[in-house]
Amino acid sequence: MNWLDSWMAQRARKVARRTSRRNFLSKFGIALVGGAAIPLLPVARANAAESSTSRAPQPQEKGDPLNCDYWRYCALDGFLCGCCGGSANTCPPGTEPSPVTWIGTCRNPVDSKDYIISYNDCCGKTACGHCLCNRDEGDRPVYQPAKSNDINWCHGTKTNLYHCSTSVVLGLAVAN
Amino acid sequence: MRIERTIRAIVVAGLIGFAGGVRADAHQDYVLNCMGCHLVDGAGKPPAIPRLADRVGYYLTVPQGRAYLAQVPGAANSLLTDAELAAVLNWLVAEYAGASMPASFEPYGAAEVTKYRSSRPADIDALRHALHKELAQRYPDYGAR
Repeated sequence: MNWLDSWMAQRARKVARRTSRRNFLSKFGIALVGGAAIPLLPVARANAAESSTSRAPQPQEKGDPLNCDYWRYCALDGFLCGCCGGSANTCPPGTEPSPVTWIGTCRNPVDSKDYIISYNDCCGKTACGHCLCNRDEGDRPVYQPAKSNDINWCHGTKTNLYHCSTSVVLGLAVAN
Repeated sequence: MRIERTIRAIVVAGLIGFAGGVRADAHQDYVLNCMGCHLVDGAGKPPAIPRLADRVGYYLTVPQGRAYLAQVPGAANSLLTDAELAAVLNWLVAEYAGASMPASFEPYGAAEVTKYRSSRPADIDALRHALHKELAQRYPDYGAR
């Protein structure tokens, strides 16, 4: 078997002479960086870019945004926009978000912290009628208008027709 | 010397932290109690919701205007304590008065807010209209109403 040993040793030396560890490292490095760069190709990144720059840091969340039990809806009174062609953050097509809104806080079960929530109504169409959600935690009577959800908050919009409600996270609340 | 310096550093750090905390709280109280209508940039929705940005300082230049800012129903009827309301008023004047900022502004104090809140005019709407009229005459950029 001596001839096999010497043949193997010869082949191995030849391979070692022809290739270098640096060459391998550089090729491996290219593969590594290239592999990491593939998911960064500009495919539908606009949304993510916007959320990282123009919006407050968003909390870790769990739960179903189409369910009234979802943490952000703690003081909501109305139809969930997610069931009406929009989402917890966005108005359905054909409606307009009301700039005037009522603002409260909800506790996020993931980190047990309070977040400031803006309940912007979507206006301009008749009531959506799906996913009625009425939790009212922290809701005050209408003589405390800034803290009451029984008010039609479609102010400053083209029409005051109420369609559905969003729950936008504005940021983390500091303990008062 | 070193101990003295350390103590000084701790005191300064504490003061900065304290000031930051107060500011953050007043800002948050604005967010939770006022911003829904007056909006994040203080633009409001005139005429129903008065504009704060570049306007609110004008109120401090006329008699009754300073009291009015604490007596207006959104402020006086809020769930804020007098000290908290004073802090919010000071915060929003500093934040939004802009071009309307008077040459000298004496910050609101809690006792002062107590006084204003407990002596509200019976017809606050009449006062509102009177102030609007006066400010519109005095300041061309105040706008109608």
